[in-house]
Parts: sequence; C-alpha cells; structure tokens
Amino acid sequence: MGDGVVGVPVRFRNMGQPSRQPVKFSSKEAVLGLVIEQPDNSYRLDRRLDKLLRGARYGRGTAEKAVKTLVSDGFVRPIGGGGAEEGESGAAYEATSEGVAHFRSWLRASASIPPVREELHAKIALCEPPDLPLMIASVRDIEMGYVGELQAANQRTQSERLSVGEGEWRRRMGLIVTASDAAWWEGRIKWLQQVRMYLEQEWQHYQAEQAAARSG
Amino acid sequence: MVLSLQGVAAGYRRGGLTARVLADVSLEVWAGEVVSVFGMRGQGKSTLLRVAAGMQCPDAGRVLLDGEDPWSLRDARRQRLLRGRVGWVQVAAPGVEVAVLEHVVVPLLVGRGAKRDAPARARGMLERVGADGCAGQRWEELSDWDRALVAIAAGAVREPKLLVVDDLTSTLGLTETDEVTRLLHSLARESGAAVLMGVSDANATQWSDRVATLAGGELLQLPDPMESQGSKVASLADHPRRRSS
Repeated sequence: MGDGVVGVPVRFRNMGQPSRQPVKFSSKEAVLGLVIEQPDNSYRLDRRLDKLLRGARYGRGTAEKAVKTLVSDGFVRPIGGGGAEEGESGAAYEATSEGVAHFRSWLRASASIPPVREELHAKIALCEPPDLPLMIASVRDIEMGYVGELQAANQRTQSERLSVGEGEWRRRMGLIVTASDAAWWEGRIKWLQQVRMYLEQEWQHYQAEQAAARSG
Repeated sequence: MVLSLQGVAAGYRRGGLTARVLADVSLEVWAGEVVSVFGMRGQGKSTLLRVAAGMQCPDAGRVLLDGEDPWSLRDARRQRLLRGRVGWVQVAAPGVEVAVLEHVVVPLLVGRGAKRDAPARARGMLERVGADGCAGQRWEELSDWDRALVAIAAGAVREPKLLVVDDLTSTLGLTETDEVTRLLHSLARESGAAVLMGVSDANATQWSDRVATLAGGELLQLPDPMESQGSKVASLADHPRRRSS
C-alpha cells in the first residue's frame, strides 16, 4: 500500500477525490485536445469546441486566443494550409510532442472543484428587506433561463441520441457531457425554487412586521 | 391544442385544512407534444395533473380539453368526455387482484362501445410498450420497471388525446427512467397524443419537448416554445406544432 491513503493504492490516490492542488482548467486544454484529435485552424476549432462543450458557452474567438497561448507554450505549431471555407482564415495547427505530454498530464490530474461564485449569491447576501420583491423577480428570471438551458440540453440529447452511431466515440462522450449539463441545470433550478420560497417567506414576515409596527 | 389551463388556482385538503398549491397557472399542451412539469415534492405537481386530467375541479380558472370545458358539463357527459380523451398513468396497484391483462382491459370495458375486441387491444398495447411478457402475471409479482410499463399501457389503451403521467419514474433507475420517458415520447409522436408529465428529476425530462417548473404555486415556462432557445437548437421540422401547421 506504500504511502497511499489507507485502503487506496498509490496510483488511485487522487481518483474520485477533489485535488488539493487544483489544476486550472481553461479553454486551452480543451483546444489542445481537439488539435491532438485532428489538426485544424482556429475557425474550425471554435466550432468544434462549441459543439463539444456547448454548456461552457465559450465565445467566438476563444480557440484563436487559446491557440496563441498554446503556440507560445510550444504545445502546438502551425502547419499551413488552413481552411478553405468562407470565413476561415489562418493556418491549421498540429500538436507538438510537448503538447501531447501536457494534455496527457492534464487528463490524468484530478479535476478541481469549481468555486461557488455566483452574482446572485452576493446580491442575496447584501440585499435589504425592501429589496426582496426585486430579488424574487430576479430569481424567477434566472430560473426561467435555466429552464431554457435544461430544455436546450434535452433537445440536443434527443437529436444526438437518435443519430449517434456505436463507433462515434466523441459524439457519445458529448452525450455524457450534455447529460451532465442537464443535471447541472436541474440542481440550479431546484436550488432557485428553494431560494424563491425562502425569500417569499421573508417578504411575508417583513410585511407582517411592518404592519404590526404601523398599528402598534 | 389538446389541453389548455387558463389562470387555474387549486389546492388540496389535508387534515381539514386546504393548502393552496396552484395560483393563476396557465399551460397549453399540443398534440404529439411531451411537456414535463418539474418540481420538488409537495409543490403541487399531482394537483396540477389531476386538474389537467379533469379529476379535480379548479377553485378558479378554466380547463379546456380538446376545446371543451369538462366542468361546464353535467356529470355523465363530463365522465364520457374524460374517458374518451384522457388517459391517466400512475403506478398504483389495481383495487382488486387481477392479472395484468385484465388490468389493462378494464378501461376498455367502461362506457359505451364494442368490447369484444378489448382483450386483443389490451394485448396489443402491452406488446407496444414491451410488457406483453407480463400479461398473465399479477401486480405484486411485477418489478417497478414492469409496473411503469403496465401503467402506461393501462393509460394509453383507449388511445386518448391527452396522456397525463404522474410521477411514473420515481422508483426507477437512471436507464429505466430514460427508457420509459423515451417510450412516452415515441407514443406521443406515433399517436399524436399530448403527454403531460409530472417529474421530480431532470433525467425524466430528457425526452420532453418542453419543461415547466412548479414551485410556490407558480408555474414557470418559456413563453413560446417555437421562439425559445431550446427550439432553435432542436430540429424545427420535427416539432409537432410545426408539423401540424
């Protein structure tokens, strides 16, 4: 067992556990993975990135920025002969051996736990009782947005599942990611439903207090 | 449009007290469409479904089933309307001990109409949902998975225009939930029936065309499915409303 956690072999020490030294995830590694899978230009990489990780909502031009960083890191290099489609420009890129090694190392490392850093949290934490109706409306708007995201994830899943083939590894992995997106939205919707109810209770309580103060 | 709820308010009685769980709820469900109402337990999903199925009169607002308000009709006519147009799907043991085939035949024996072919129709429906192997078994002998399939068969056997499904997947695992909801989706597409489901986990919404959430008496949904973000992603040609237009 060596120096591993009791009952856990050393080689599995970090599997399934949050990393103590989280490896930062940006679009860089995702773009690098796509280049390793198939050399491409920035325009097509952008499209592939969006298709693969739609829930992450990477903006247009993300791949181009990532490729610049990857080039300066020595992880990818231009091979010329970019895209021929309209709107495409620039060279295609391929991964270097250092890039492949970096990607493998990133893939093996445990994923970090993302911080809970939502604007809504700060607003709720800092609001005053008279702000409650606005907060409730805001929660409702966000909930509606999440319903839309859940619906979109469902529809992506439906159309993908009806057409994906047994041998299409990347698309099947994409389906798992989309199902994860749906589970994420579900969690957010349930949490927002609770928040909305708590805020409504607080508002009723506040109104009752105000009424009592006026009459007393 | 198969179902229209307009400004519905409703509640349920518990221990002599009435709990108001729906306030000014409006919802439309179209032919061939699957709509999920998603929410935590105790938020009024079952009340909403009962109102939609014509099993509970709303305290306020209006219910239209295929354009008719069941609560504007006399009792016998309302029962006839509901029998003909609504199928109720819930995992619940039959009141009497009968074989699965008989359980699915029963809805066909109620009301007017030829009953000679009822066993064949029930058998056909069990086959369609993949539960024909259970025809001779009794409810207690069935697994949760088989019970869900039999519940769908019993609800759909009369070929209703609206199938109302109450928490069918709560006892099922991930894969089974997926298969059951996929079955409901394909039944809706094949028969043109509208499906309204109450669900408490998002996995059960995967095969839905639309999702609405219910909490604090309020039903939240995207204003227009054809304009929503989801519909932009989905194939518009495949959407039941687009196909019927």
